[in-house]
Amino acid sequence: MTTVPLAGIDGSLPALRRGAVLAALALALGIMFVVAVGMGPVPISAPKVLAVLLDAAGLPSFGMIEERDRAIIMAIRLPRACLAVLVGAGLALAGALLQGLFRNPLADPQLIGVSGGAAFAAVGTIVLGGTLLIPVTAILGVYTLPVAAFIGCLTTTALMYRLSTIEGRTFVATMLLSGIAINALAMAGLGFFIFMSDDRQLRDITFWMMGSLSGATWKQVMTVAPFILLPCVLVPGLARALNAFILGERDAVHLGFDTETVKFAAIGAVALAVGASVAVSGTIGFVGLVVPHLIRLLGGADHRLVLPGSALIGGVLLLAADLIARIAVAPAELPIGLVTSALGGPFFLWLLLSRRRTLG
Amino acid sequence: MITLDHISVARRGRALLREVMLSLVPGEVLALLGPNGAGKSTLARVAAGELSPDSGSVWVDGKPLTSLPRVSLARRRAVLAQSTHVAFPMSVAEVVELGRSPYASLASRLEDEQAVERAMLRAGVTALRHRSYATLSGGEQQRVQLARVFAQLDGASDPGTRYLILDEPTSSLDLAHQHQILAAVQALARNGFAVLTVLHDPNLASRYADRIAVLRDGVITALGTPAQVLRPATIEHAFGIAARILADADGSPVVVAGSRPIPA
Repeated sequence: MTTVPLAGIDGSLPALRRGAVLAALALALGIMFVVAVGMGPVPISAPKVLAVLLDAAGLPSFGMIEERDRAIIMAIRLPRACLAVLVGAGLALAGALLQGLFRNPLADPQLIGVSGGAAFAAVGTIVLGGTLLIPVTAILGVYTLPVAAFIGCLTTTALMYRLSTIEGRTFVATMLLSGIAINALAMAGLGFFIFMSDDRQLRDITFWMMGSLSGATWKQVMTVAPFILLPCVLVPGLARALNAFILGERDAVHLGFDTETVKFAAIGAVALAVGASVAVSGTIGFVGLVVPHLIRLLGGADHRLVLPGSALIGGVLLLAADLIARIAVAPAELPIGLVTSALGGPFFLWLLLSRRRTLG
Repeated sequence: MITLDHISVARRGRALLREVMLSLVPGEVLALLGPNGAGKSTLARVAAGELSPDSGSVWVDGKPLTSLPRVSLARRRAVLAQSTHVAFPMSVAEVVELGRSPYASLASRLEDEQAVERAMLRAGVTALRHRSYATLSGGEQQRVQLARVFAQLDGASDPGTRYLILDEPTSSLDLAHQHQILAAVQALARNGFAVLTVLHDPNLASRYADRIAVLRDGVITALGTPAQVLRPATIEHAFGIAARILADADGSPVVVAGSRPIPA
């Protein structure tokens, strides 16, 4: 399972190889993007999709553009695909950060309760937005939800880290069990909000429980883009420090890293990315668990590859999952959270079984 | 020189170190001996800056340890624990390369690669370079970690201001590897590095240390060359066990612990 050829420093040019892997993944993301935009009840061929995308970007487009295609792409499929890429990248990046921080391949935003905390806070603003939280919504406007999700996420991530890590050592069982406890607490809170919600609020809440990208709008894309792109841009700066974390927090200190700042930055980035993702799409599970594994299998554990690579694969994976959600039972739609759980659940089990001995 | 000045550490009302005074001189291997719970590891952690003493201070080349920037300190002082768990699959070369982290903004790619090569050679792990760290034996893993700290101290500045702190580096190793590791560490000291190491085995200390400090109940009870320190009375006082001292071929003391006095 440990593939060395792409990693290691022997006479090879690892920086170049990393670049090559990332370029290949970016290309895969581009292809998947065009495919996802083209597929649907009205199929649109890849050249036509490209023509519309180039035209929309203000570039010369070769070929005829049908207005109907343009309308479908620009109003429905493109914002949805953009949202899928953003959410996928955000969740996968958060998973990679959490696994690096906890030094554990089983950390995932949903499993350890971080998404639950964000969903609880988000639902809280739906139910209390018209009453208790009026002063807050008046100031934050459309950003109320992402900000609430961010705060919920930040609180749970910091709490999880405090609970399961003692002197820089993370206890896996404690981490997973605290995740269960925190999820239970978040679900209890959610249940309470559901109990006191009216019909309209209940519909909105159901959306969070399932996780979905349907009804994506440009407004949503614009609202979450900064929250997810900011960590994507800043996080590669943490790669070297997280590499040192692989040896343990104490060794990272002795290698000259300011581990407190690194933890603070990583938890902040996780909270931004997961908070924003949950705010627009509800809780979508297992992306953060599966994706960092895929990139490690591809090119080793170096976070200079794992962090940006996870963001790219996350985008590809969520585009694919959303495609399945859209066309599997057309004209109806599956919740995307169901698709990712159906794929990620077995993967998680396989991971647990393959590590059964080391987990004890 | 690292100077520990009147170091006291207490935890939960129990004194772990009391007014300890100790200096680590460039070019020497200084071994800390003593029974479990005597404060050896605590002292090593204080010297490494990992633990702040409740009173007293640590000085590195005349400056307070706490005043040194963490990255420049990391280029001069490396620490090796008893064992290191590597959380994700990594090759040996990648683990050793982590030792170059403090040089990210200083050294070129080529310098880093050469430092990694030298370190692997010195620790005897060059042949393992492509192996996955997780598949190595405990002894091999410890040698890889040693290579990692060698790579960390492989800089351009004066070796007389480099420090290596080891906490029971040989506790998981077989006999041959214990000697291999300590011989490599001793060679480093001969190049001007200062080495502070916690050891359990007085005979390893006798062979590889220039000076030995014996700790008991947080106090240094003996300090000096192996010949000065390794005496029946010292051993018995520190460990509470009878011991005989024999002389090796080169005259260095050999401790035979638990032996009954020879009947007259």
